[in-house]
Amino acid sequence: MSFLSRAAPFAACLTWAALAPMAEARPVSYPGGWTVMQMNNGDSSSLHAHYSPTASDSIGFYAERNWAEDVQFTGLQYNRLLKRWNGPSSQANTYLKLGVGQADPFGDASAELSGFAGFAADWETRRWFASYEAKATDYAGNKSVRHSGRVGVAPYIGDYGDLHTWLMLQVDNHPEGDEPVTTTPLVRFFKGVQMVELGYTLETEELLANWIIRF
Amino acid sequence: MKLIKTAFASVALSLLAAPAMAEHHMDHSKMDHSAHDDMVAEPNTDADPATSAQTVTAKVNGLVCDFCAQAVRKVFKKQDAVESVNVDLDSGEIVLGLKAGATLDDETIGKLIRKSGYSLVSIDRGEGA
Repeated sequence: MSFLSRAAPFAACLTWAALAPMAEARPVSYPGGWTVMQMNNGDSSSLHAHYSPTASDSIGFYAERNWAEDVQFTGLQYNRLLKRWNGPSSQANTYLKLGVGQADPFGDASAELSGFAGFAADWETRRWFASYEAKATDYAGNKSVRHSGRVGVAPYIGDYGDLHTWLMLQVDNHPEGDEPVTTTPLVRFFKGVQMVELGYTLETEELLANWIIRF
Repeated sequence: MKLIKTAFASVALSLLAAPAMAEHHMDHSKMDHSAHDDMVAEPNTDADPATSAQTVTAKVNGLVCDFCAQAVRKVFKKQDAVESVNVDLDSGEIVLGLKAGATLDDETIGKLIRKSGYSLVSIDRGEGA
């Protein structure tokens, strides 16, 4: 396959991602900060460890084992804070996420150059949270698009260093999936540099478990 | 299915317990911290700014979570002039305690806050004890 034919899907993903809305946990830290994110749901498990040279960029390792698409992806991910709005009691962000690496389909098929592009947006106060995220992947020729949105509320407002709790509802749209639309009530615990999320996807009866640490 | 039910029950219990834990924690914050701080490593355990040579209070937009506070603290703690950094998410203020004889001008403070990813609103300076 020529470079151009390989690059075309990525270019399409980028174009699409730039036009689509979306969001997740903040993928960029403070200058010099490291972050490790470990995410699990019924479709996939992933590990993302990144370093932020500035408050607008981060780059790191990303690996995903995806059972929905029978493939394992390993590569590099770059995250860019496109725009941040800082309010007196709120913050909103938009991010671009790009990944390139190789995907190994389950079975005997050989690894192929693969990648993804995503666009995320979030808005947060100390009481309310909303986010939207879209991610387009091309894993070994298997192209897929996912959308994910969240709303959340903090039942109490804690001070810096307290245990913070968020009640959230996540809605995912994966048109190619067996369940195109899924809903996941989840609880987020946040204390100091660590964040843990536990949820349960109603349609597929599968658990969601995410963990993030910053240092 | 049993595993799922168990996990669900755990989440529900955590959910019920968390506000009570936080309330307990916050009630503690209103009490005398002198003994408590020695036992528990809280994020805001820097030296009391009131005992620093000079305190600088910066009002900042965008401080909504602990990750934000941590970012500001990490960036300012790298400054030689800074002895302590305390973040108040309620007021959106960063209180810097400067070392004796040290200075940190407004322009540098503004630059560091922008570098952290936030927006400076105002700076107030006060002499410490």
